[in-house]
Amino acid sequence: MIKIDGLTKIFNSNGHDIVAVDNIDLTIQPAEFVIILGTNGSGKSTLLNLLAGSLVPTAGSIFFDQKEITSLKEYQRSAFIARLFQNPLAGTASELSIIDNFRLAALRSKSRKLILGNTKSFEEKVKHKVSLLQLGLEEKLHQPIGSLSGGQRQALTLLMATMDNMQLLLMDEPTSALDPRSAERVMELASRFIGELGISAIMVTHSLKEAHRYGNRIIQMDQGRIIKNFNESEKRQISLQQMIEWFA
Amino acid sequence: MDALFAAITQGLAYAALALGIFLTLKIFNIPDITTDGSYTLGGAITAVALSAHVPVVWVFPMAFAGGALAGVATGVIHTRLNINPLLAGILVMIALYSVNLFIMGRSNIPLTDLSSFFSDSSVTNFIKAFAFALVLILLITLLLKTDFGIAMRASGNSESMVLAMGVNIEKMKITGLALANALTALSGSLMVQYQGFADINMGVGIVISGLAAVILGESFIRLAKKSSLLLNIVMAVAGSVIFRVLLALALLAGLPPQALKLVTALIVLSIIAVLKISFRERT
Ligand SMILES: Nc1ncnc2c1ncn2[C@@H]1O[C@H](COP(=O)(O)OP(=O)(O)OP(=O)(O)O)[C@@H](O)[C@H]1O
Ligand SMILES: [Mg+2]
Repeated sequence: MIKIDGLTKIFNSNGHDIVAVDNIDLTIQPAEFVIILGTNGSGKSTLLNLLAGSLVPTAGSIFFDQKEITSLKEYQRSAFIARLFQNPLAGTASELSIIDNFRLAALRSKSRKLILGNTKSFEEKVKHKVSLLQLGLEEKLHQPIGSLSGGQRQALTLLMATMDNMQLLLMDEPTSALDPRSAERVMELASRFIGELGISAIMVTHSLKEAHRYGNRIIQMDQGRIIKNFNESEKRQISLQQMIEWFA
Repeated sequence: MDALFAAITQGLAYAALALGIFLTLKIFNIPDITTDGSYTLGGAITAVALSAHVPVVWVFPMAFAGGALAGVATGVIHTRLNINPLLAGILVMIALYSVNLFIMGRSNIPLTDLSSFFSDSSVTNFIKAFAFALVLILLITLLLKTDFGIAMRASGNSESMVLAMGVNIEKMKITGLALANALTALSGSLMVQYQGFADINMGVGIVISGLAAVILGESFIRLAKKSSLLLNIVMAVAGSVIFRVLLALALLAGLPPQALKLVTALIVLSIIAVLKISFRERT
């Protein structure tokens, strides 16, 4: 479903080159939930940004369902890719109400017309969806989303992703700014959506516990390359202790 | 009394300008100073069109279109060439000075004896300016509540979010700058019809009037501790009227007209200072 060929990203800072992603080949199947581990600076975020289209690769190509998408802009790829950022502020528009944020999310793959789309029936739909989070937010739909906590916003961002067509979910350390309880709630939600919708997902994390518990494939990156790559049955064999040793 | 009444009418004629600045500054978070040029552009187009006996109903769309083009120019320079919006605005503003002179053919066009939107009755003029401002307030509020408007509002809020939501943010910014400058040009058009002449220097420093209106409006919102889209927009227009009244009062109190721009700057500075101090105390 996703195929990456010789993907390379070289940054130039102060005259010298940094190879952030180094000639990566990777294929991701439908319904695969890939966990990416790796030390700071190993190129994980860069890889995700290349997939999302917020960075342009120095070399290589990206295919989605056999179609090359390397030259598609980020906003164009949003028609099938949803994102969850490390910073909960990045995935929502703070000054807009929860309902406006959801309205925008419902139009991720569509055009935004000159019509009043925030109808009663749309609001009912959002209310129902939000109530499933059991955070009591369904009563606050007209509050600015910026008035919520990071954990609440991250959970809403995830829910927003399900408002429109999504075939790939990219998550870059989605729980690193959250307290343990909120982190677990967001992870449970993500894993449930990925399973129910049968979509592919890629998650970067520094939490070995999360890496061990979630996902059906695991990759370790180092200096811009993939140095470990295990499928579902292999991943199941790996113990938390072994993962810790990967970083020794 | 007459002077105050005239000031209120002018403040309403400047409502479009205030709304333009509101859009760029508050909705898009872009400091745009194409304003001085697009305001005069609207005035220049109006003066030339009315002199050529173009019906008033056509004059407004022409001024609007002219301003929109100016905004597109700033937007394209800013987004496609990746140039700081302030600089992009200055470049277009400077270029517009020549364009406006070219359109007008001379530096001043009087409009005596030509029919225009306004008439000789100050009461009718007030009602017309009020109606014009009201229609703009309603249209802009409605626009910002549509699906397109939600995307507009989000654009100035979180770029990463908007891109992830499939919005072409460059196109959105160009559209926003076009709309803002089109509104500004409408203000220029109204003022030319109100004053009865167009002048090549009529736009000098006009951006500060819009800024003052928006900032005054914002201070009312903070005082009222209530906020909604409609209220924000209404308050920007109210700010425009109050600013004109303040200036009129200063002139009535004996301020020499040469000092007007100095006082304008001081008024804006003091509002910002007061806002900053009172805001700091609360946080
Ligand atoms: N915009 C940039 N300009 C220059 N260098 C960059 C840029 N972005 C990333 N890099 C460099 O590329 C390398 C990979 O960075 P990246 O952010 O992908 O790492 P990461 O694996 O996500 O790290 P972390 O775990 O800290 O988030 C680093 O050496 C980083 O300094
Ligand atoms: Mg990273």
